Amino acid sequence: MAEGDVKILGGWASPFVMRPRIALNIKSVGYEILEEKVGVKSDLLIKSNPVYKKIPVLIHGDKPICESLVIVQYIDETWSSGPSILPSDAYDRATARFWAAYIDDKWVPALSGIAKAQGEEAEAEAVKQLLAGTTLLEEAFQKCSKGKAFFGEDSIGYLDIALGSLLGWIRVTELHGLTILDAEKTPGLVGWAENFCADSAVKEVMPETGKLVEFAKMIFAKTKAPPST
Amino acid sequence: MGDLKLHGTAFSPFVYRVIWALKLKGLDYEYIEEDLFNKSDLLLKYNPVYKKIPVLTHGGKPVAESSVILEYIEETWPHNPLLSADPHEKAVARFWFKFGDDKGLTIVEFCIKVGEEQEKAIQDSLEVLKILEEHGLGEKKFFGGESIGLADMALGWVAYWMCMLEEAAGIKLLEEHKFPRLFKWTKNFKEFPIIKENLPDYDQTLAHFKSIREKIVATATK
Repeated sequence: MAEGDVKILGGWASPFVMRPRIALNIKSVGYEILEEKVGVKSDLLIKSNPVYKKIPVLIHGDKPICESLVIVQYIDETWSSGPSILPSDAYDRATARFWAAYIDDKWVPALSGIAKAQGEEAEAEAVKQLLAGTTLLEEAFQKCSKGKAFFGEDSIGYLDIALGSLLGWIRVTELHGLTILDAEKTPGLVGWAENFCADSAVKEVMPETGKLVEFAKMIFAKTKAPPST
Repeated sequence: MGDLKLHGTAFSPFVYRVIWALKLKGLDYEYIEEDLFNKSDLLLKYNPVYKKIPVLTHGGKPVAESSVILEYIEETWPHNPLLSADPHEKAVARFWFKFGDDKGLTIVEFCIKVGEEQEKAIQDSLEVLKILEEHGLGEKKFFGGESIGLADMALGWVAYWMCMLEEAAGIKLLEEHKFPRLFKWTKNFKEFPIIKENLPDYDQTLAHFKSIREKIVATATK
C-alpha cells in the first residue's frame, strides 16, 4: 500500500501516540500524522474511534485501529517482513504482553497519580506505589534483556515501546525533584533509557522535556480555569 | 504438549475464559482450586505481581493475566483458531477483549452498590451495554464472526454471569427489547457446544453472588 494509506490521528505530546509511530519507524513504513487539537475532537476521530474518542488511532487504507498496544501488534503483524517487534518465542511474548499490560494498568496510573494527588500524604503514597512498580520493572528488564540493551534484547521491541514512550513524562515528573530512574536502584533502566532515546526509531518522535513542561502547564491552566460564564 | 496446570476458583469468569480456550483446543490440563483467602505458595510464586487467578503453567512455566494466557494458548496451539489470521480482524478482536476487561467492573458494579451509588452504577452499566450493542457485534453472530473467538470469551461472562448478578440484585439490565443484538449473542454463546458444557452451576453461583450482595446490603444499612 502507498504511504498515503497510513495515517495516525494523534498529538505530539502523547506517549500513547508515540507507540505506533515508533513501531512504524522500526518497520520503515511512511505515514501521515494528523495532529488533533487539544480539547477538540475532530469528526474523523469521533468516526474512527466512536467507543473511546481517543488518540491514537491508526487508519490503514480505510480501516481504523484503536488502542495503542493493539495498534503496535497490528503493525508488527501487517508489516511482517520488517524487524520483529514482539519476541519470536511464545513464552517471551507472554512475558512482554504481561509487563506491557502492567505498565498501562498499574504503572501509568501511579505516574499520573502523583500529579493528581491532593495533599502531601496522598502524594507520598503515590510516589511509594510508583517506585515499587519501578523496582518490578527493573527486575523485568534484567530478566527480559538477558544482558543486552533492550527488553527486546538486541533491538527495540514491544515492551521497550510500551515503557519507553513514557520517558518524556517520566523526565517531566523528575524535574519536580523525584528520582524515578535511579542509577543505584534501577541501573538497568537508566542505561536502557539512554539507549532507547538514542535509537533512530525514537529520536525524531520523542518530544523535548522543556516542551512537555510547557504543555503540562497549559493543560493544568485549562483544567483549573474557572468555567466561562 | 507439556503438562498444563490451571490455578483458579470455582465461580471466576476470568478462569472460565481460560477453560473455554483449553477445551476449544482440545487440550488436557490439571485444575487446581485456589482459596483466595488462603492463597497457595505456588500461586504466590507464580504470580507475585498480582497474586491472582487464573494462572496457567506450561511445563512449570507460569503465565498470568487471562488476556495474556489466552494469546499464549492461541499462539502455542494454533489449531481451532480463536483469532482471525487477518491482522485487522485480530486488532478488532483485541480491542473488544480489552474493552471487556476495562469496562467489566462498570457493568457489574450495580450488584455491589446500594442506594444512590447503585443508581449511578446502573446508568453506567447501561451505557456500556449500549456501546456493545451498537458498536461491538454489528451484523456478526459472535464477536469472532461465525464462530466464537477470544473477544467472545472475554465478554462471555456477560452472557452467563450477568443473569445471576441481576437476580442477586433484583434488577434486570440486559433486556431483549433494549439490547436485541447483545441479547441474541448471549443465547448463541451459551448454546455453543463447548461453552454449554463448561459453565459453573447456576444455583451455586447465584447463591455465591447472593451472599456477597447480602453482606454489602447489611453493611450499608448498619
